[in-house]
Amino acid sequence: MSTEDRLRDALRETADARAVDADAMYTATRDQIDRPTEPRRRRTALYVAASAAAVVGIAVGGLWSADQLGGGQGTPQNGEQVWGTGPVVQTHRAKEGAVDDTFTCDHRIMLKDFLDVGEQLGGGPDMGAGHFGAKRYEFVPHGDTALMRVGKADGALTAKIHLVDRGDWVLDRIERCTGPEGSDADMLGRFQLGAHGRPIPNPPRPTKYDPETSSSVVPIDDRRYYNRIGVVDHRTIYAYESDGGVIVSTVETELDYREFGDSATFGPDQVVDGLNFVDEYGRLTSEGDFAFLMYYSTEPVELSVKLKDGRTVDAKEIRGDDWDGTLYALLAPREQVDRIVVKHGGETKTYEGLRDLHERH
Amino acid sequence: MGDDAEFAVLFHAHVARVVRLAALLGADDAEDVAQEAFCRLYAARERVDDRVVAYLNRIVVNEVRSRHRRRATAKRAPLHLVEHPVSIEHVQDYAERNAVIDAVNTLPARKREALVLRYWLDLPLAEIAEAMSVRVGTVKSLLSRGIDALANELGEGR
Repeated sequence: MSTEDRLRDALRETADARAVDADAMYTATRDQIDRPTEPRRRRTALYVAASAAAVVGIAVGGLWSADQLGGGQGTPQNGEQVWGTGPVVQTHRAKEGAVDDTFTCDHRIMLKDFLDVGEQLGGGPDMGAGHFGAKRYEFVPHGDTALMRVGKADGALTAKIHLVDRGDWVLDRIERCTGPEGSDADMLGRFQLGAHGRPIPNPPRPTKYDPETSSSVVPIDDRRYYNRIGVVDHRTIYAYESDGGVIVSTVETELDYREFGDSATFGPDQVVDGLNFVDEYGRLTSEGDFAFLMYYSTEPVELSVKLKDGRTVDAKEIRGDDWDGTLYALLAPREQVDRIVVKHGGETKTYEGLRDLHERH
Repeated sequence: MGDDAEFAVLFHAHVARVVRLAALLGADDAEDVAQEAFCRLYAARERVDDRVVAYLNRIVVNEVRSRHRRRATAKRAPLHLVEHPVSIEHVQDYAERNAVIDAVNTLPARKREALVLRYWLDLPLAEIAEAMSVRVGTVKSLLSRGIDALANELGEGR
């Protein structure tokens, strides 16, 4: 019997052996729900007690004025901006050390459409920060609001995360480091696939949870970017052939170990716009994102994009020595894509922009 | 999810699974973890909608982690293996299960979470990632390394 089967059986039998008195638990849960102030007190206590790290300070309670952050982008701030009312309970700091009060990065952005960052942080201050590659954090609750400062190993501040207590700590807004013009990616060579400033690292070995490779793994792109909490990271994209198609997969070096992460899997002879390029929620600029178009074929193909300003972007050919087919890939500013053209086997297929592409597939 | 009657139905539909998940993740107060999860579900009922199971999974994972941190100890709570008497003919099965669960208890928390969510709940990778607040690539790694570590603990060559 395999390890997986032994584990599955043991977990099932152990779980089944656990008796649960649902009615008694429901009565107890209703009692707890009907005590209106209990959940918040309990959770506040949780955060106070949760930190295995040092409790570093107790501040004076009082009224804080709304800060100047709302709405603007990249507004420099001095000192720790706090909002909301209520006493500062305690500050929790990761054991690696303190985080600076002020930003030193040249460019910053204020975001409210941060998607799942709030979910990541909802489980506790150390959880989300570590997940996104921050080495240090300080979490300062103020009644029903909180400010979390996160930073790099040297203590440099990369983001101020403002949370509000709505049962969970829900993200209100985040100010974080970014590149020029609000871009998360380096501006130099931003539409060129390949290496950007360093040799592309060797690919990791696909695990059994990745599609099985039938070919060598070939690098497509490697570049720096600012992630969701303003930490500079690298994202590398590789491709390899698998059963009947190609796998395009990403590796992020912020993780403790290098494994394939998000991926797009597709068969031959279709235009694919299926992989967020820099980061799942990364931005090319504050106004737009990358279009990363791909086409895989065992026959010669021409893939290109016409931009609204009249320029044409041609796809790059990517293939390994032992590949059966070729991957054609290009980058373009998403908001500028006017027309996508595929020439294959004497036929020309044209898509009138990305929306047309998505509607026809 | 709307009124209290609907909450009661949801509670009874999911409470056994939630308690057992907390226990398998190493909570020594699994019922209390479940109660906390349902209180938070109730507080968030207006915005959870049809994602009750995913929400509960995430809360349980987070709550067990928090309680482990609060205990400020690196020791993982042992699972409650058996709460019913074991008949003599099941001794062999019990020994096998005991060996596997003992090995699970030696794993770091995140590997254990990934293995329980995958091999007990049969969750797809994306849902495990959501429950653990990590990325899919991280889940793959945790599963791969977790199984390898488990096999090593069990003395299996892989």
